[in-house]
Amino acid sequence: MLTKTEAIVIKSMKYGDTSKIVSFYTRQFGKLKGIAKGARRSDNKFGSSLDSLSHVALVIYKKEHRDLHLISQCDSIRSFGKIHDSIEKISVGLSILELVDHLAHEEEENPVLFSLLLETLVAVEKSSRNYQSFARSFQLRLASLLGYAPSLNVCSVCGKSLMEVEQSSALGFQLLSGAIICANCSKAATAKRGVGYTTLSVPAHRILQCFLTSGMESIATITYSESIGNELDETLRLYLRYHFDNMKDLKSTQIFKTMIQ
Amino acid sequence: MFYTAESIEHLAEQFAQLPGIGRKTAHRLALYVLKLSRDEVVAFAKALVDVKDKVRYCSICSNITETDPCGICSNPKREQTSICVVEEPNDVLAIEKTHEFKGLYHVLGGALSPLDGVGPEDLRVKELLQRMSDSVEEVILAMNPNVEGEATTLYLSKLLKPLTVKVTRIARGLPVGSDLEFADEATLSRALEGRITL
Repeated sequence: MLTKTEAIVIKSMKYGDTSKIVSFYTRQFGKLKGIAKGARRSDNKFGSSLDSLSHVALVIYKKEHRDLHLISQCDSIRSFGKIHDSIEKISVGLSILELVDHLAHEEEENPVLFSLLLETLVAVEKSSRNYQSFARSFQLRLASLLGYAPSLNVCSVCGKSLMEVEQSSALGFQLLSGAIICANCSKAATAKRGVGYTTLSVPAHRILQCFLTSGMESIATITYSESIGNELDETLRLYLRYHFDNMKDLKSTQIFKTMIQ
Repeated sequence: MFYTAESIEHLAEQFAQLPGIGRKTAHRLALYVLKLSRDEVVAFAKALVDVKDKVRYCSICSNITETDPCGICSNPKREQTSICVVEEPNDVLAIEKTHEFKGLYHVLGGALSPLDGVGPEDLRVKELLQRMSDSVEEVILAMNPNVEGEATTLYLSKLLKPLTVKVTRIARGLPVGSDLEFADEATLSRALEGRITL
């Protein structure tokens, strides 16, 4: 059946002499793969639309019970050219795509995830600072969308709002339930610590709250130190690995770390 | 069980290992070899073995060659002041066909592809930096115009700029002979960015 849908290109690989196999995240069908015949010829009809990070209008011959569909047409809607101009922006863009590639299931529709992906890439393209915040915020929002939203506002032991009571020392974070334990309860609840328990500094907790609730345009305005950034990365890495079996360390993040240093 | 001769099956299996060759084509090729004269088959086999025995990577530019250094690196008529950095040996052939570039090359052996786990240590980046002597005035980055190529270009320019060498990149835009109306948005915007004064 010939179907049209919006999509973001995740990645493409060479196939045969002139073709490409392309991974997309689509608004209508979730993640799917297609073959673009003749896409590597100089006179091909796809142009630059099959490049990673492109937002495209995709026309495919979609058949039931097939893993690979035939791409009939792919027109660029937005190429995110400004992302291509900065190695830091490319780093964030590709790490977001790699995360989607790891965690999204084949042909499982999730239009909200598609909108989040698109909205994040638009924000990265427009932004002129703090690009890594978009990647961190995306990780948290993606986990929430897939059913693992952490509960960051209330202490899971005493039930008090964490916004009202000033926290004197590090909080506890239960990776399994995504629950926060306030500083007081955390001191008392040492016996409950074990597998799936980690600590979270007060500033890192505040920033995670902002990442989950702030509008995309204000993400770049949240400022924090490099050590807090590293703490956020480690907490998010542990949280995602705890909940998603197929979650691996992101290759793109590791490689870009060495490139940007 | 072999349906034809064992040696034909064996040859077909070898052909089937080649990229883009399926079982049927492999059988057709094996039967074609049977029709060739013995001399032709020996020449064919020798060509295969020669490729493996004689071809190596140039110790300077990493291009494929039979002599080390390669014909381009050892040619005194080539301009020693400019180095064109490309992803693969095929790109050297493509640029040489233009007869426009008279300098030297450096073959990286691919492009940075973070999604596939290809990082700077998988490419011949260190070797390129080692070639940056006083005689080199310009480095031309000729990567493919895709995300991997862009990431490689940005990374190399970041490494090369502190070495006070002129770093340029090849132009991106409309292919010669194409129609403007059929060009996509990304290609056209790159073409506009790279416009030149007449």
